[in-house]
Amino acid sequence: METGQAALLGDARALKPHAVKTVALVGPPNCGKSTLFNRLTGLRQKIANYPGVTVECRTGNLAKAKSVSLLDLPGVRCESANSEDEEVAWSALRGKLPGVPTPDAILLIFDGTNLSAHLPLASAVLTLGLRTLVLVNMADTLRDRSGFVDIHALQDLLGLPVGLISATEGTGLNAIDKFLGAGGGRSAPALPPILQSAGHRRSWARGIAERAKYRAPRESLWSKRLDSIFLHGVFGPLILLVVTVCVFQCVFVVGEFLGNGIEAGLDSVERLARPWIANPILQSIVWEGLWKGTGSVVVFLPPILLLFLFMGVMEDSGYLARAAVISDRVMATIGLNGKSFIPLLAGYGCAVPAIMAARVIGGTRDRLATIFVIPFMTCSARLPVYTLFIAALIPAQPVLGGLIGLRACVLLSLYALGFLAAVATAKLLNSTILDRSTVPFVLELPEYRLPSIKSLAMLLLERARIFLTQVGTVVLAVSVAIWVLTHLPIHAGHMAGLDASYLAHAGHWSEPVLRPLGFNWKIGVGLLTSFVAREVMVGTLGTIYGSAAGSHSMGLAAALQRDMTLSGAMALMVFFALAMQCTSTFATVKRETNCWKWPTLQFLYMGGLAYAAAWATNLCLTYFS
Amino acid sequence: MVSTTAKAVPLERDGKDQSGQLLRRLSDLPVGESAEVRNIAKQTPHAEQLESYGFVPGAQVIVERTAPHGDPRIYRLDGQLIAVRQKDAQGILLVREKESWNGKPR
Repeated sequence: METGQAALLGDARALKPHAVKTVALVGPPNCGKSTLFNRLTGLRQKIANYPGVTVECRTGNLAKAKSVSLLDLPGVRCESANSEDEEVAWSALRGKLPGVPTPDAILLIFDGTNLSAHLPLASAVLTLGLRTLVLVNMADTLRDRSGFVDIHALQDLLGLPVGLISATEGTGLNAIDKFLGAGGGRSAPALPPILQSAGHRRSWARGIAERAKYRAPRESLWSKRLDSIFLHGVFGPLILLVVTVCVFQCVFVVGEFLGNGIEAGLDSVERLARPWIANPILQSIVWEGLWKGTGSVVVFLPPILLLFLFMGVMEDSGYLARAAVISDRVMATIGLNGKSFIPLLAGYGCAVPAIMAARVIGGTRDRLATIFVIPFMTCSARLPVYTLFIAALIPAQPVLGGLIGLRACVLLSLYALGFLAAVATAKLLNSTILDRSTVPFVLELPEYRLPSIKSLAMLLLERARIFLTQVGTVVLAVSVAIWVLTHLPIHAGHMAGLDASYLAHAGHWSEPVLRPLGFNWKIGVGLLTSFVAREVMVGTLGTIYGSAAGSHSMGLAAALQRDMTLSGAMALMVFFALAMQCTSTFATVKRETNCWKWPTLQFLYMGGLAYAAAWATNLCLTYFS
Repeated sequence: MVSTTAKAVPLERDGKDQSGQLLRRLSDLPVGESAEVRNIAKQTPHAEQLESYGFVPGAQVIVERTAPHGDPRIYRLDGQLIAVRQKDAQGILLVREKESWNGKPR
């Protein structure tokens, strides 16, 4: 607090009106910062109705004034940082975050529906001594549910300009233009009261809210009714289970249907365009190498996008917070923080953002444990591999009286396997290397909201872009390299057949390691390339089987069906469920834990577990069949 | 304006304060009832995190509902819904009946 005062008095820059260059968006979690950010910049980022989605600073230029950059910070509740992401926000505000410009003005945004709860933050932000505009968001809800706040009184009490806005409707935003345009209006805030404790800040805030005649809007009846269903003693967990099963069933069935459509499209393009390339070597490299390799991965775009769509709907609607509450009991029994649910669920999409999301967990120990088990969550990159092998070797039969298909059943069991491995690992970590101390589980439950189509569409576009970039770079390069290795050496002007190629030689060396798992050398080569990223395996197999005599005219699934046993395929999927085959995950863990120890330990542990489990699976299935 | 000037908070031992009176804990407040927060128990780890969510002296808290297994429970505090594990809610002490923190009748 004292340092804030000193900075205020010493920093003459803040007292003089000058052109604003960097504006920081500050506010409690889930108050609509990101929605406002998107509205002001036009640059899209992920917004979700779940506290703590912005885990890193994001910047974008104002759409109306390109020279001004806007900084979207993680949500903060009070001046003491409770977790890593609040730490990030405060160091950015103090200009101590490397690579992020020091902000010279602040847009302090509050959720108008619970203004008095978050107003204490104003006293902490005031001490920064920067030009500040206070924005009371959700004017629409305030109006519709007969809430009230006297903006002019609030302005006088805080000594700061105050605007009433609705970020979702885009009303009241001219207050921001005025604030930035007029060189900030008032140049510096009034001297803030010095408030020592959280209790003092609260009563100061309560006094201000009272004098500004603040009346919270009526609580939403809808939210209350939905909560009595979704958090019901019996129906709550049941609905969560049904939702999860439906999501996975839908991802598989609809995803496969759409994927087949893409595959048919790619095939007809190949048929039509094939004669255009006359040179046989070039023809082979383009169609068997590039096209088969990348095409076999592209068909998995629909299921991945579907998965992200469902996750996005759950996040934006506010259901995810309820799911966290329902599952907290389970989390507590395995010794994880209830807040680990957020990153663990994000792990079903992709481990990289999930590991970064683990910053919202207060307490190093819980954070480390969560980071360690996240790669066990079945990420979307495993989906192409699972779908391919399930479609190739698992018969489509109904089980449980037609309630669910055998294929979806296998898929769900693989998800369950990853989850159980995570649970067991968390337990193991708790009883061995990590010390036992507890961090409280406190979670804000936002009101239910209808997810915005626009933000979901943006999320899917972003995900599609990431996936297709991966296909266009890594998968493409690996496919071409694999094609080259399957066609060399050249003997007397003829390319080698697959079985005489360099790749086959290399593959045969690996057979002693792979035979106990029930894999042939082609699968082995695919497995090797999958350590770059899991989905690369599908591309590799596409290229290998595309080059194999007798199978290049069939689909990849049909070729695999001929070349693999059921037990081998199951062992392979078990291996994928457990192994950490992803260079970006490794790099992210290294960055987040700031040491090599954790990612290395994680890689070896998961690899060992995967090999052992795959071996056991193959052994059991061979024995029983 | 509400005054919350430093009122000496007695040390608690064995669930009782210095004068031997039983403490009221948030975890024991029945569903549907409301009470005023008195303070956070001294030994509570990470007390500041609970404070940052608004569990500070004088705050009115209502028990909205419980999660399916009875834990955590969901509270309404300053217009927001907050889920807190029972273990952590134990550390939040409530003002006893007839002992309002700010002297206002409830």
